[in-house]
Amino acid sequence: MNVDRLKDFLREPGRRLGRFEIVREVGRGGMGVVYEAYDPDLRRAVAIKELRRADADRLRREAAAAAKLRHPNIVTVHEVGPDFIAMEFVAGRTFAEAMASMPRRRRLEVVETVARAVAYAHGEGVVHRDLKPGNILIDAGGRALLTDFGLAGAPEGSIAGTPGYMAPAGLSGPAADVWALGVLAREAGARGSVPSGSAAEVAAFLRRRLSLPRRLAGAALALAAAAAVWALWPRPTLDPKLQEWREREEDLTRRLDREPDRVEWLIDRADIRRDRTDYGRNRGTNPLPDYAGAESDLTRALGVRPGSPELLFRRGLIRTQRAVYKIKYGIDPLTDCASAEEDLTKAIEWHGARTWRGNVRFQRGVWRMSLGGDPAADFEAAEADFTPPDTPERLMRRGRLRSYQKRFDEAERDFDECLRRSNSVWGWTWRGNARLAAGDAAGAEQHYARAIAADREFTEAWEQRGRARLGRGDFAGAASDLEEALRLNPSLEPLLSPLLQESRRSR
Amino acid sequence: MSHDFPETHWSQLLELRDPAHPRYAEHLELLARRYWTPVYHYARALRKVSAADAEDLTQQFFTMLLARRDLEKLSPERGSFRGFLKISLKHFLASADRAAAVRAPLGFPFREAEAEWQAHPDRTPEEAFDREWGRTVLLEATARLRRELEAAGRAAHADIFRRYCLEDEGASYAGLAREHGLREDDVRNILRVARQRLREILSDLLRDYLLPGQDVEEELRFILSK
Repeated sequence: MNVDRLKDFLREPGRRLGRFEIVREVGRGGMGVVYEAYDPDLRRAVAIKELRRADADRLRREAAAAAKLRHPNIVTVHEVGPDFIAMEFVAGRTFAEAMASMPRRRRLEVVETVARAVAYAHGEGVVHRDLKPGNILIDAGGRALLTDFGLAGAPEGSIAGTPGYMAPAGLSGPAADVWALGVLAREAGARGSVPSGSAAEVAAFLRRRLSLPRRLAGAALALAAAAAVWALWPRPTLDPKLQEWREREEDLTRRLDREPDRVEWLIDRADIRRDRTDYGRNRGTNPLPDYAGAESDLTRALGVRPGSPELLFRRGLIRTQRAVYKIKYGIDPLTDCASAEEDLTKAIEWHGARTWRGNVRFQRGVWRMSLGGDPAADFEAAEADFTPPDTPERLMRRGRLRSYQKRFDEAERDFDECLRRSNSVWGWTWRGNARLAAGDAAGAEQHYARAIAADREFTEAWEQRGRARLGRGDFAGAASDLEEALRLNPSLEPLLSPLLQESRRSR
Repeated sequence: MSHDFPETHWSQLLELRDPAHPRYAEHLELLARRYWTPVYHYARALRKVSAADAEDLTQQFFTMLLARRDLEKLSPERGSFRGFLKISLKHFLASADRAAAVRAPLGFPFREAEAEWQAHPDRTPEEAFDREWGRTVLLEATARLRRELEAAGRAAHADIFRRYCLEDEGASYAGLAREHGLREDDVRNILRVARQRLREILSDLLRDYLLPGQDVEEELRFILSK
């Protein structure tokens, strides 16, 4: 019997920090003890850092700044309490532990991912201050997540960080992070001179290294020189649409600085941010910062107009869309689902709120199902929200729900009715998905083709037709569809590149 | 579930007051059988005491204790059975009593105690005693919990508890959930309930050798800190 393990199990049992129940100690660091804990309200595991009293005030302030970061490669801060910080629980190893067993290329990928996350954080005005392999977590699926933002155990301005990763005197703020990234890149095996200007430059540098096929590494220098010339060549950098949005956003921000309580301006800015997520999601930019921005605009507006069904509906929509995005990338969406459901329930009289609530319930069922859980309760609640099915939107969503419940004939009837009334790309795509789930890949392809015909830039349909063709053994067709999906949305790479490789190999 | 606890409580023993009482020796011997290994570990941790000598010392000590029935010297302020045992042991080692012959060997399973000792041979006698004391109590409580779970037809819960808490390479929530066809949340909840119950059992056990009014929580913290 392992007595120490048993003592760990028993130690401080039933102890709570805030509403969180401590489950077990998982580590100790300069700033305090880290526990795995359980959130009984949201029924999920969280990681809790208990802060030492002496540092608690300052660390709490910094954690509050870090809490606004929303990025798939940054550990989410859920809550900052008086003497603890509750974060996303990541089951896995640290990069420090995993590094030795990783091939060089994989190590570089991790550092590249981290550099992108740091660049995003710097854009939000948040500095990490203690970048090192021990603060990078690798979860069970191999995803890298950066943790402990701003939590280095020393006050602002004094020496923080870990020997070896610490920047030389004179470098502080973002520059110190960039220095540490350089050390990390070097440690991961990067050759050549790692840029020291910004985190984004480090990421781009590593991306270029990674995009070179291994056998061409010898000829890399010439290519790198060409790439450098190309990068310096003057050309328009910003999409005009993004440019216009940015200008309008800045204008609204200036006006809101003067009059912070103007609800219509807050709504306008939230709309811009939401439109940008839709636009960006299909073009490979990370939409999470804009979801967070739009959410915070609407929360502010709700402070001025408490209980407004319109504002609750709008915020519920943002939260639902964020949950959908997270599900696609395998990130836990349950907080978003719960808060979206709450908003939409309060706004239930608002036109469309019931349908959207059904959608968020459906999505939660899908997530539970993907983890091997039982989606029945969520699916039933969703179906009630889609009843009566009096609009194409509800018909289409009910059809999708029924295909997940394997009620394929009923699903087919819903889609048929919906598409007779409205030529929806989503309707055709979901109908295709339902056919695919029912085992009719040829039928599915025809539906996807209808969606593509309606909108040639609709990535989802290309992606799904690629999957269907791969399943049928049409490898050439699958490869060309998946390539098109990737061309339209490069951020799908982690999801699609294994499929693409498979279709190319088999071709 | 206290019905399956042996009817031996340190506080009851003290309340008997009369060492000549027939139940007195019986109570004391039962306590000794439950809690003799810390004495062996203490003796073993003394410099230059071999395993064989430590065995002799342990047997002699308990023989002396049982024969002399000198608990009348005890007063409530002497506190817990743990404290009593340690003080008596120190007196015994410093006195001439140790020369007393072992009249009737008590038949303690020394081989197991020696194996446990060998795992951490560099502790001081005090550390060795306290840690072994804690281990003995935990062992007893754990065995009780597992019996309870099995008697209630919850073999899966007992297995999850054993695999997660007692094995050197503790199993993960995910692994246990897979093996038992449960959700991770279920595993978490089963363990939370087991922890709660184990604490209750431990508190009952500790109460057995504390005096009324002594702080059970404090004793529990002491055991977990060793």
